[in-house]
Amino acid sequence: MQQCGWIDNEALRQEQGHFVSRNRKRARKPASLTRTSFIESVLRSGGQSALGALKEQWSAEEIYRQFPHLIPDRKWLDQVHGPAFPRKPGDMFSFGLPSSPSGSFAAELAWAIARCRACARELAEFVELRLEYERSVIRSDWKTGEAVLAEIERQFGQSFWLFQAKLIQARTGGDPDNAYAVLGNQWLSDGFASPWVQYLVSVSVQVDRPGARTAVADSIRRVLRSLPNGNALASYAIAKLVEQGVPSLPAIASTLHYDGLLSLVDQYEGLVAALGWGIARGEMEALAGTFLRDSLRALSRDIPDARLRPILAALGVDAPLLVDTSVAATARVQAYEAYAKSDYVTASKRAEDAILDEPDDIACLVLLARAGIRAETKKLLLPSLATKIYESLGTLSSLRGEVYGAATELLAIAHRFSILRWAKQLELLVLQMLATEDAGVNRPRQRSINSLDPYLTPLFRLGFGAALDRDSPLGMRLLAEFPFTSAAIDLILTGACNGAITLSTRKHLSYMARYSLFSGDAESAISCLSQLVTLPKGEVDPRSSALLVTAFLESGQLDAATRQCVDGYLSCGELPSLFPLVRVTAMLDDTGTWSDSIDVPLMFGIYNSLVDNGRLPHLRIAFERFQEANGIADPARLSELSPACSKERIVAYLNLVWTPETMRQTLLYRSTSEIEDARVRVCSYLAKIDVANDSRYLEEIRERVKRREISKATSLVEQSKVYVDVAAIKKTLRSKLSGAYARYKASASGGDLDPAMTELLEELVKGLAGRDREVLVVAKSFFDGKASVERLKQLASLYSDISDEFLLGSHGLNAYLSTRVRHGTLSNTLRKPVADERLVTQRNEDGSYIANTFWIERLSALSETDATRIRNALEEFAISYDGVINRIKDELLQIKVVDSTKEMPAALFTYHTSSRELEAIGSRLESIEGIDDFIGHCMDRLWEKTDVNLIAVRSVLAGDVRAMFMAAFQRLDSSLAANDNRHAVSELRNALNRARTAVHRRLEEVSAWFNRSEVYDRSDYSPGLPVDIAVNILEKTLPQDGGQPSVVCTPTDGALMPGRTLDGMVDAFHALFENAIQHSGFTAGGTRIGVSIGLQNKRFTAKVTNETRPGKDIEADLRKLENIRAGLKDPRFRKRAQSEGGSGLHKIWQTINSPFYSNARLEFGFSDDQSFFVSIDCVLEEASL
Amino acid sequence: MRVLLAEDDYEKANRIGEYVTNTFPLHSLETARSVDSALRSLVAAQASSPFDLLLLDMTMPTFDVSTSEPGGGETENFAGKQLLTQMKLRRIGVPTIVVTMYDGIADVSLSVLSAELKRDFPAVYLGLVYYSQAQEGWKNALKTLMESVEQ
Repeated sequence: MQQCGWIDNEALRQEQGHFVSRNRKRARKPASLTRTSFIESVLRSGGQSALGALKEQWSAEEIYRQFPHLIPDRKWLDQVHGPAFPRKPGDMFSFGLPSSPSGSFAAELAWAIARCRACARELAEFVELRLEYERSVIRSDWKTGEAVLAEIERQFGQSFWLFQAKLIQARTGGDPDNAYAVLGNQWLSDGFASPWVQYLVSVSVQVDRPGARTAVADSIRRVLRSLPNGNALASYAIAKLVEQGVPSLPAIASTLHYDGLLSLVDQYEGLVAALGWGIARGEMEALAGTFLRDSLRALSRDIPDARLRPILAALGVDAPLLVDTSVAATARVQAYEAYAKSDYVTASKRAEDAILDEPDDIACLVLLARAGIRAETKKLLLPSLATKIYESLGTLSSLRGEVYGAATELLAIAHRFSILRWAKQLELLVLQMLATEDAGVNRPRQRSINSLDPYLTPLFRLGFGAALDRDSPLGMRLLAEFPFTSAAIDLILTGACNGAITLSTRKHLSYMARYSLFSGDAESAISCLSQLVTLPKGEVDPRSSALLVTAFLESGQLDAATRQCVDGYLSCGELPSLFPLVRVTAMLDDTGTWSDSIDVPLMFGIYNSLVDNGRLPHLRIAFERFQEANGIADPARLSELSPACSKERIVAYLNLVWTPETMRQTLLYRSTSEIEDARVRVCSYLAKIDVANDSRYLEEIRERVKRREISKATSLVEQSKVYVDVAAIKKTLRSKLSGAYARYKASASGGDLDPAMTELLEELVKGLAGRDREVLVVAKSFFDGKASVERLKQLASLYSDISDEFLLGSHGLNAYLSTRVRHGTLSNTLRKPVADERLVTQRNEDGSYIANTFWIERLSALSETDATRIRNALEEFAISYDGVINRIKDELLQIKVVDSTKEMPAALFTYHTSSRELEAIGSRLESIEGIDDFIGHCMDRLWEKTDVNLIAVRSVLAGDVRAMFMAAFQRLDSSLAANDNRHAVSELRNALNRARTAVHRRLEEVSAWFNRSEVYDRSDYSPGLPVDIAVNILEKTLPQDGGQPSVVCTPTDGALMPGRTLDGMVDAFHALFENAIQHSGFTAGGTRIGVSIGLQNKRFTAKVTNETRPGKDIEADLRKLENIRAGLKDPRFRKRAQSEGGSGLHKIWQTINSPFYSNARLEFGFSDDQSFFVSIDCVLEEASL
Repeated sequence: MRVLLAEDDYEKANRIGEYVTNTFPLHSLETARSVDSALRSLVAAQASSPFDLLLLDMTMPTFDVSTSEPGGGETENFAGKQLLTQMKLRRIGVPTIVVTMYDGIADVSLSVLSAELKRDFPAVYLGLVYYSQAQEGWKNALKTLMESVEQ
């Protein structure tokens, strides 16, 4: 282990002792903690609590000056912090999880400066190596980087900084995930590593994933919240690892405190960051007057770290470190000066020279990028990462092309190397370039950038102008070295500059405009900027355009600001964030300020598309007003409003304003379909006037029309749930009843007796008189009556057959109720609202419910008793809720034929035929010609009965069923209300209420199914349509949390399917998709289904395949499939097809065995790759056409 | 007094409607089942006989639920707030009581929501009533606020 530079600290002690003697009178004598008691406490308790008390009781100044006296020997520091240079991760945080709070910002700063000065020799060496590492990274010289890190580890042992640097190295390899794992394991495998260090390590790896920062920050807050001192620990971890925003002072203090417990390297890195944060926030001024200036001057002398330069300069501390003697300094000066003189070729060359020597000079790289655009520099000698940054900076500076792409790439680089100084500066520079131009100079933002820049130039004055005295050595030096650049900065900050220096007109106007805005003279700013924005298009700097909007706002010209903002967006739309959209729309908050111009709705449209939807109501009313004021019902009318509405404005209006989102909640449209129609008209018009983008609009039209068609067709199919296939039934009955019907008809038309017997009896009657004649007439009546009963029996039998087929046949009411209602659809529809809110879970095979982990995890704040009660209440709710669904499908939505043997006491479809009714049918028979009419007549009667039943179904659903569902909700609600900790269950109560409202809607939807559907004629359709409809039905019924299956359909081209087959095909595909979800072994969202369809010469083929989860045991499935295969050959399969549960393939088989098809074949099984497939093959019959 | 109840939940609308008509028999109550219906009712009434009070739900569908609009179009979490904004922009100053059965909406607690409504719509926003199917407390809260309008 390295010896701490204790010899050097003798000087420190002397210097600080001198400081003590000079300030003896001012120094407050610590009341309760003396040097002796501090040392005793360190010896007794390991130092943590003593250090805490010291930071609490002593002033920062006292801590700093007393430090050499408090710490007579290095081992005392180790007692307080652990080893300065730990050899292994386990040596960090060796005191366990830090529970003591940090001291004040000033106290932590004082302690950290003193401690670092005490070990200055090692830290100075570290700083040198560290800079070498920074430069090796931007040079993409990973080999050198590796070597430097190894040297740092050799000299200074482990540090969290080193771990993060190694993460950077790991990312450069081909398999970063693996490298992370190896690196993480190295650290985590150290059995003695503190859990806190392990946590930091694991979070560091997570942060690296794209877009993970916000989620990681949330996770840190959640995880650490419950720990003692958790908020401080969370602030520290977020500030250190996630680096979101500038931390608060207490967070900075925490960072210093906890970094000190990691290693000395981390303590020093934390100190430099804290100083930077402090000056950027302007928080150091209050401290600067006391110990800080002296201590920083001394620190910069002991540790000549260039990163301290902006800190010294901002605090007005003169120090030798401020003199930049580097080889690149001259080239840098020449580059800046050439740029100020608008000599971009020279600026470009000299900036490149500077960067080749000092590639971490990011500000110079920005200058190079800007100069390069104007000088049209083609080829540079920069290393690869620097070149990538240069190119992206060029795109971002030019504000042309893929500006956001370039910014995203730069930010990704900055995050990737976020422990490096240049990366932090790069991030802030990029954010500044993306930021809104809402003032001439943004001081706080500029200070943050300046505080990270060790290469001081006059730009430093943009952030710290007031602090940097022009007569100070540094001020004078900068003025002497950078006269033109200083003049430019003078112009921006004071509106005047050295008269001997002339800047270009463009620069002069631009800088003067900034000054005018900064100093509140909006009219002058408008005057300058108006000249700049009248330059030819392409030469206008979007920043000037954006500044002009601000200037108009400042001068109270709202209409002009709105117009300029829209103009700016239309001409420089690549970087709209430059424009003060938020401010303009805020000024337009009152409708009384609105003009009649198209710019008002456009302004809100731009805001809505780029910022957020907070101004959506404004957009809607602005749209409505503009449309009404100008009588616009059709998009083409807009072109008549020229010149106020230029083509660019019309295109933007149609794209950003006249959209479905805007059209909703206006008085102009009354339904979703009206809105969709209007949008299709808008897209059609856009395709005409914006030809360059017509494919986009045509695609939108296609997509909308398709979605509309699917939605319409789905709605039609959903309204056909109560269905009877009359054609199929007639076909079946015709062949089955023709003989019986003929016999019955013959008996009815020929009289009651045999014709020969009738003739004989009539002859006899004619010849008789008196009593004999009466006897004979009575005898004839007897025979007539007997025949009448026989006829009635015949009729009853015929009607019974028809009724059976209508109600229970393969294509009768029960079959369709089973396929379209009871088999999954009803359950899924009614279960979805409660499943989406996770109030119910799926069932296991034994019927028990899967544990409701979703809510149990969220109810962790509850006591065990309350949690158990709610767990039980949820399970009871699931049982009750599913019980109601089961009752609907198993008992209520059943068919009961009175007098039949089947017991169905609660069935709502009840059918009874009286003798009187049969007589009435019989009496109608005389006017009925053939069997088809007879069957039709009987079926009409059955439909009439069905209509009555349907009324009953709707009534029961709206009454008893609704009440049963609501009772289940009520019981759950009461259980939740009984809970003591209402806050803990509030989320669950909200879910319950949402579900309850949704269940009401679903019940109304289900109730609407129960209307007679006799629509036999549908338009012919593309063979892919039933697949789309089935997918749409799945989307409407599957619970959200499971996701939606991926269905890829390859339909056939050209030929259409007959409209009458649509519903059956939808049933078939829906059943297949449900089967796939149920049996694939994946969740719904993980299920992948492929469909290929063919239709050629009336032969329809379809193959549906789905992957099965690897490792799924298919042996049991194979046995089941074999049983099904055998069952389909059994004539009793029709009965099976009308039951629910495991009958999907039976239903499909039944569907393709309707009279619409012939030669039906159904194959199914597993392919070699264990995919499950179902093949359908059939020929379309004339009946379907 | 003319009262408009903007509420899409069947049961809640029935219970509130029943309570209002029983407690304030002289009031006339109309019900709107969506933002669209409510907006049209408010705009239409504004021209002739404006409503004196709006009882407003926060979460509603855009259009009335029907066979042709099965879900009622898009449901917006803060549809009630959007309606209030529209009223403000259209200068419809009907005193409004928000009646919600949620403890919070989209991670916004009721107290925060109420404070926002008070800040954004001080001229019309009277207060917020937490409606619960399981409890009766909402009735008194609603009555008190409604009586404040009468006074």
